[in-house]
Amino acid sequence: MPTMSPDGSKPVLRVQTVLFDHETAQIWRLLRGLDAAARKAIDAGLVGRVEWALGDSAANPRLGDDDMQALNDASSDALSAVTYEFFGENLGSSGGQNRLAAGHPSDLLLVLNPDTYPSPTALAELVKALADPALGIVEARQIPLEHPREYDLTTGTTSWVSGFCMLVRRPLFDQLGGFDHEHFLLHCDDVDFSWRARKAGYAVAIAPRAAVFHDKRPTPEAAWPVSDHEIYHSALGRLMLATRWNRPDIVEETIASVETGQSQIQRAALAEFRSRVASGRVPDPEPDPEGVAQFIDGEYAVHRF
Amino acid sequence: MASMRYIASEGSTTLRYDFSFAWESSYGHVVDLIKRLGLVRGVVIDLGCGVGSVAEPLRDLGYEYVGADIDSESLEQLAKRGLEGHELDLGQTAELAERMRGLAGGRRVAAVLLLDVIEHLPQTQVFLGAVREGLELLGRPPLLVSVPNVAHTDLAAKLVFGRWDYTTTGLLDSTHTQFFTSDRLQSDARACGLLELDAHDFKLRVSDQHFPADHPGLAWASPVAQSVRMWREAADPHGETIQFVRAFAPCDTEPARQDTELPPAAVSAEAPPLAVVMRTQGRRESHLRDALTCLAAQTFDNFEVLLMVHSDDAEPALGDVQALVADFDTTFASRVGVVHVSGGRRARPLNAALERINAEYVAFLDDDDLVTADWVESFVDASGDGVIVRSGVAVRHVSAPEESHCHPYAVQSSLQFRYKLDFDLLRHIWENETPICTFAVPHSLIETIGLRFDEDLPVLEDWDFLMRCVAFASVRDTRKVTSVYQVWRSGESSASLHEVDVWQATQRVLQDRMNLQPLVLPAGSADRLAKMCERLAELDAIRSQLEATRYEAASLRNEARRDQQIVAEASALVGELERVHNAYQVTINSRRWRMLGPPARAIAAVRGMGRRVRGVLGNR
Repeated sequence: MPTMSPDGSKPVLRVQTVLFDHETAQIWRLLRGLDAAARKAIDAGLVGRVEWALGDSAANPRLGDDDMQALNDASSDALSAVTYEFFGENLGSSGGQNRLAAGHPSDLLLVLNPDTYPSPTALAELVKALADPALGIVEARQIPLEHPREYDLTTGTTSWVSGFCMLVRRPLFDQLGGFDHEHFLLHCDDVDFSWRARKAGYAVAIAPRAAVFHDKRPTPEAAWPVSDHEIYHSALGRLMLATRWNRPDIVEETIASVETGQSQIQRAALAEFRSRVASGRVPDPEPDPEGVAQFIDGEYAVHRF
Repeated sequence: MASMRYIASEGSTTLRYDFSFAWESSYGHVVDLIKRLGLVRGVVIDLGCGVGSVAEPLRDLGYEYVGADIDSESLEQLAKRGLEGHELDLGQTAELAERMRGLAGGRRVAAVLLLDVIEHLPQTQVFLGAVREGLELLGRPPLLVSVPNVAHTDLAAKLVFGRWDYTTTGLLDSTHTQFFTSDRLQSDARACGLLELDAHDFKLRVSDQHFPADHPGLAWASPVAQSVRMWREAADPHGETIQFVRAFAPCDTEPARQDTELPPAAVSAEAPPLAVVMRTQGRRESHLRDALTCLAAQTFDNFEVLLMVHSDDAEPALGDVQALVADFDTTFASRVGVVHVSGGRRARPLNAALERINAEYVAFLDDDDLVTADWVESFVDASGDGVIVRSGVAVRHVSAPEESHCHPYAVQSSLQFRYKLDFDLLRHIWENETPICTFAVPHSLIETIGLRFDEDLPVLEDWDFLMRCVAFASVRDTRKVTSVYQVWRSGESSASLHEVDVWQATQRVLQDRMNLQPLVLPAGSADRLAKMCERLAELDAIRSQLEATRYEAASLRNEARRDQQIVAEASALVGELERVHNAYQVTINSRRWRMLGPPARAIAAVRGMGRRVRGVLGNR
């Protein structure tokens, strides 16, 4: 077992999902998949209890009391509790995850996007993968589109793991203080979190046998489509990440790229970054003598294709 | 009842009124069918017997013949031949059952015949219902029916052109009051408690309706006639059937219902908009789970899945697959039917699924392909009007893991969009651009037309099926990429299991097959073809220019080669000159020369050599 409670009972797995104007149908879809996956993990004796916490960063609450009642009624006893917290402010995904985790102890923490559907064996495979004491965080394999990040074909270890579906040891999450919500609202929070875990002595890995459907839809123009929102936060996140991991060369390179590029969205992100620099709202540089941070060809890992 | 019959004789097929018996005729097929059924010996009652053409052959087989007809002349003919005949008015249906019992007269009845009878009677089900009652009184012997086929290709072709030619005999005998297709005959019989036992239909490619022979719908070389024949053959196997010759057994199910006169609904009212046929061999658990996960995550969930487990042994593959499905949430798992199929090639499980489909549309998915969340929704949104729905696809390369690897398969390439979003029929004649996971076909093509995958094909069965579908239905593109088609660089898949030459040979076979049929193209194709011809003409012009340039280059090469030869010859002469010059130097400096040789002669020789060399070089 990857973790056991002090009293020897089976681990408690807390699944956390942050909403932002997501459709109710997506929440129901996730409930169905999560419930079945929780059942499989419990039946396999890998976890003792699975709870699902929903948080909402949107301006208006997506779920009401009736919805929550219906969700709880529809879930089996594999999901011991389905809870919902309306934040009343946009905490982003990282801030939302921290808020949901605060005051709710567990042995394992699964960060899970709303636009997903875990395969029935996904939770069990993630928990099994985390049985390796060298690993601090494991990520599921995305289907139908797969992220091109390179990973070790034998161990699954990689540069960073994605927050679309990551299982983290709860003590490690607490040790790291969760995600850096202050500097990474939406993007690169998972990269930064991964690198801080690696700096703390843990490896991070992809668990390819844990398949989780991620509702991404390719177009002939973009094999991995991204929204304007993602473009903005991706650019801002990169600048913040390079600042955090003490890579002024990458900051300069990124600024030059944005300034010479045509994207107004990226320029808006650059303006925001400069504003943050001026007001001291950027992270302090983190010494990285081990070289965990990888800035390679505009990415944060070697890509396979 | 006076009847006509078809006789094939002397290597050609002709039609004539002829009450003599011939084996290669509709009546011959009746007797053959009776032999095939192996009926017990007894009385054969021939209702509406006419002159009793099958009487003697049946008697020869050991049956006791009893004819019944309203026509006294026919009965007289029977009597002259020593055959038993009785007067009977088949229009008196209320009395028919009892009259049939009377005809048997307590004898054991082997069969009852209705040959060329029911098409003359106005109320088919009422009549068959009465016959069914009579069969009950006779101990339920089988009923043999012979009836003309109104859906012969000749009639279909003429009707396309608005022709419906009644004749005094034949398929459109003007005394016919009812017309039958195979489906109608079976349906009416079922409604009257008669279940089809066997069939021995009589077929003729050329019917009595094949006139005028040069009509564009009939002429063999006419593209219209060829197209009608192609469509008719695709629809059912009865395009050349002149006469349905069927045996029915009385049964207890489905009492006569008047509403069965109406054609059955295409699909039941509660049928979902889409059924997904998935094929798996049950050997790649992770792939199958991934594909099912994609289906479970669909944004539109009013669809059913038929998961066809194709393996020679039902266990353990079937049990493993059922367990894998049961792991999913019940709202999805309850919509997945798991069916075991054994034997055959890749198309066998697909056809087995098509026999079970009850949905407005059918889509297909292999267990190693993946789909996006809107795969089903896109198909359903674009469905309707009998069109084939087609979506875009991304292709990527994957490989099987080595033993030490932690992944079930490795993705080795980014997504490639090699297939166009818009369906192009002309390009599809060359090669397939629509993998099996990218199209959905309407129920009408499966049920009404009866299209199926070709089970003889080792590969490319999806291409063949699609091309036959598009002959009957147009294609509507969703213009969305909704599936990921995985090409295996290693591991077991259709691509790796079959050598390249098998793919190429099959492609050639299918192209040849298409070439044998007339090709019907959708509107807009003429423009496409014209542009393709224009492009070909341009390419031909470029090719001609290239040929000319190549010829010119060859000429220059030859010239250069000649120059090189001249230079070589000149060099050789220079060498010779030098040798002579050296010899001259040696000679004139020798004591002997100084003493004996005439220097003037040597000088003249050297000068002559020099002129030769200059002459050669001057020609270049």
